[in-house]
Amino acid sequence: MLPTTAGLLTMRASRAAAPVAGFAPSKLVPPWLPGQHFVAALVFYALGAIGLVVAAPDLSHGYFFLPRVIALVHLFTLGWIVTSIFGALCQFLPVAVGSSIRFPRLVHLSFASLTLGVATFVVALLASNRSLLLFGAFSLSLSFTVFAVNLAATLIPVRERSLTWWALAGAAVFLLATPAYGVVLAFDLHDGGLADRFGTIGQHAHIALIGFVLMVVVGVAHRLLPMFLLSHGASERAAWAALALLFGSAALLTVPWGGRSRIAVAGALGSAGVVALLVQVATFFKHRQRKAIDPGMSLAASGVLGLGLAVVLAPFALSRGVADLRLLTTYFVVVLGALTLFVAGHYYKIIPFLVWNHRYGPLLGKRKVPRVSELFSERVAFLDAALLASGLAGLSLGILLESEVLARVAAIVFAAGAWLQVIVIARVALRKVA
Amino acid sequence: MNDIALSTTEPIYSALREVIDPEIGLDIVTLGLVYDVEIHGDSVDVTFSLTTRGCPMERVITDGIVSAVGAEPGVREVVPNLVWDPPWHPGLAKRGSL
Repeated sequence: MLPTTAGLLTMRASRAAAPVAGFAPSKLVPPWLPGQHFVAALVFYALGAIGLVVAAPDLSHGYFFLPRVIALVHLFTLGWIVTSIFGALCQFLPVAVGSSIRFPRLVHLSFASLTLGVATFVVALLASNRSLLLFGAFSLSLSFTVFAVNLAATLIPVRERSLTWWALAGAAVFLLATPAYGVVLAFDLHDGGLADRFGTIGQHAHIALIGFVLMVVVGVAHRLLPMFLLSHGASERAAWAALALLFGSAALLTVPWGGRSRIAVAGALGSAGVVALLVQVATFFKHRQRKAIDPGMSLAASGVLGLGLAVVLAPFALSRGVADLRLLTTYFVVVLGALTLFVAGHYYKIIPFLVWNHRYGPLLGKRKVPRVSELFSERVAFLDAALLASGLAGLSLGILLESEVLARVAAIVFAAGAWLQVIVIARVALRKVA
Repeated sequence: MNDIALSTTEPIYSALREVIDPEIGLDIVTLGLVYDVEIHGDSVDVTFSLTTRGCPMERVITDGIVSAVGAEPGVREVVPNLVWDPPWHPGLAKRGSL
């Protein structure tokens, strides 16, 4: 007999109902707040996968600076990765720092300007339309600024400042710095006034990568991996080292003075930071109590290993720069591929959980409910993981070998994986309670 | 309503086995998340924890405990009591269950 039906059974306000360590259950975010980001990100992901098949021959020759290739890169970086991160942070903040996003209405503004910015920026690059390009750059900058301010406003009142808090605080800082370089590049694309365009592109890409994306990865991995793997009590020293090193690297990259020695030191710090991240993730996996590794964690682990490969390639690719465009292109494909796998893995954790929470959560304790992992076929998800990882590996190899055929076949394999994942996630989202 | 008197915690633990951690796929008793059950007449106090502080399942699992235990004959009141001390760790789960 339940309180909602008869009123005879009562539940006294327990000690647990009060906020614990700043965690306020009543302020949990509605599912559509992160959900709208995930829908948009999956659309960009699916489109990017098609674009990759089209652009694969260009990539195999190292034509990294073609506008259509730059458009594709931004479809993945901004449309897939950043949109996913914004959505995931909306969902993740109450778990991570015990506080929901400070201004939910501003999330709509940052989301709208992000999706509009990605769409216009990509179309502008494809159409060589300068006005549209600047509008896209402005829209993206607005989105980054609004989200960074919202994130900072969320973090500042939090008293318990864990590693995740510091990682997200760092990410907020560099989220502001990233578009500054991007706008300079957007102006330069048609004017061509920059003395060191390659260097500026490299700084822009690495501030975003190290300062924002990897800082978020460190923070997310530190909080979620022990939860998913049941690796409670594992040492966290490597994560602190990763945080400090990556922050130092991104800070050095952001300042506009210091010459090549500054870049070299920033590169060394960034590489060391990624190695420390690898050590931390390996520590979590080593101490895990759940021996079976699910598809989501397999993809996330593959992504982190890909980052390790990028660290090996970085000194060669970045020191030779435009002198070896295929190596440079391979490096960026490895980096973006690694992040894609990491993000794709978390979709197999976050979306089924959100759907379960929404559809089956109210039924818990009243009737038998499925596990989160039963909302989709693990076999299909493992197949998907294999397609994504092998597609990216083949594409990287195709570029190194300058093989158009291999690059295109590998891109098709990756695209099959991306579309399969979109279908699986869509089926999970649309699943009805039996 | 049911006026059967509660005399043992076993039916309560049995009911709590219907409440699963959906991510891990095990019930909260097997996971060792239920620290204590006390019966005071027709009122049941359930002291429990979660696998991670700030776990997003807090509300769902708390409601699940109330639903499952509240459906037991003789129970009129359920007091879910979430604690973080001692913190849960995988060693508290039933051996070989994870």
